[in-house]
Amino acid sequence: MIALITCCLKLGGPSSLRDIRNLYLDQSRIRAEIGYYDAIIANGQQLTDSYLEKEPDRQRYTILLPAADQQPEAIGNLEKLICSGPGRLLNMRVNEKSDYGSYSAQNISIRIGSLKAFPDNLISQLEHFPHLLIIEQIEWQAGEAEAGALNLSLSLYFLN
Amino acid sequence: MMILFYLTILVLLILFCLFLDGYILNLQDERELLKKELAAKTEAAAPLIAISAALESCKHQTEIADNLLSGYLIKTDHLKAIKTSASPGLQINYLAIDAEGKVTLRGYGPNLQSAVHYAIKLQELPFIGKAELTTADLNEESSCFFSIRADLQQAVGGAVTDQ
Repeated sequence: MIALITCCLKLGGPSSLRDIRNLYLDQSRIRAEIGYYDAIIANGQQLTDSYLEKEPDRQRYTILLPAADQQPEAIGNLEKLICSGPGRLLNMRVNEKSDYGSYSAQNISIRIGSLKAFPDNLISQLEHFPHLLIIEQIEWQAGEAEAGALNLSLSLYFLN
Repeated sequence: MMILFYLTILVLLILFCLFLDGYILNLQDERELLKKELAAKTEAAAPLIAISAALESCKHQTEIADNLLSGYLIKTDHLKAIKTSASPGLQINYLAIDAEGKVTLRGYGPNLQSAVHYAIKLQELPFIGKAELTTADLNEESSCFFSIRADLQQAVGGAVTDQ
């Protein structure tokens, strides 16, 4: 008889109560997750509208601040732009990259010689470069005939 | 009498155990249903979560780009304005702007007055904080060699529209 009672107590004792408690905790966790997804689904139309509205901006900023893996292509495009510009490219150096956490800056120094005048067009083209390119420093020296020289220090930015 | 008492307790215990067992099974079934519901909701919300992440990423990119461009100093328009402010006859043969926006200009003109006038005109430009004539030498050939130092201010309105 005592053995039977002990067996019943074991079956319906603390372990079962612990199971019930765990099941309740599980359920409340799942319900909270469902609530989170419900809120997202309820907000779905607004999110979609906002996305469609901001899509042109998003595409523009994706080009403006490209991912780090697009660095070779971006530097290649800059090289083409500089080489097709006025004067003679004397030196183009890609310096060490600076990491700022969420983004990084690639410093590039350029030296162009044989310039007849100040290269307004080149500066304008650099300003309208599709990727975020900031002219950090500029030094232009006029010279006799075509001896003018331009030193530029640029930073090309990438998203990490 | 005692046996009857023990038997009653035993029956009650068995009933209690059966009740608990049924209750646990019921809770497990409920949990399974909730899990299925969660899976369906997760699937339905997945594209929206991707949209939300894309929007967040765009916001992040905008913040970075705006922050970087707020300090953008060397603009084509600024350079053009610096050069066109020089009166006719005044020649600029050196122009440098460093990372802090310090502008150094060197050139020559027909007289001292044109150099002083150029410094004043530069000072009047909206993006120039301060401009001063550092040297101006008039030589025997009536040529005035000058040097001007100026400070570029932060670009107004940013340059996001330019790039």
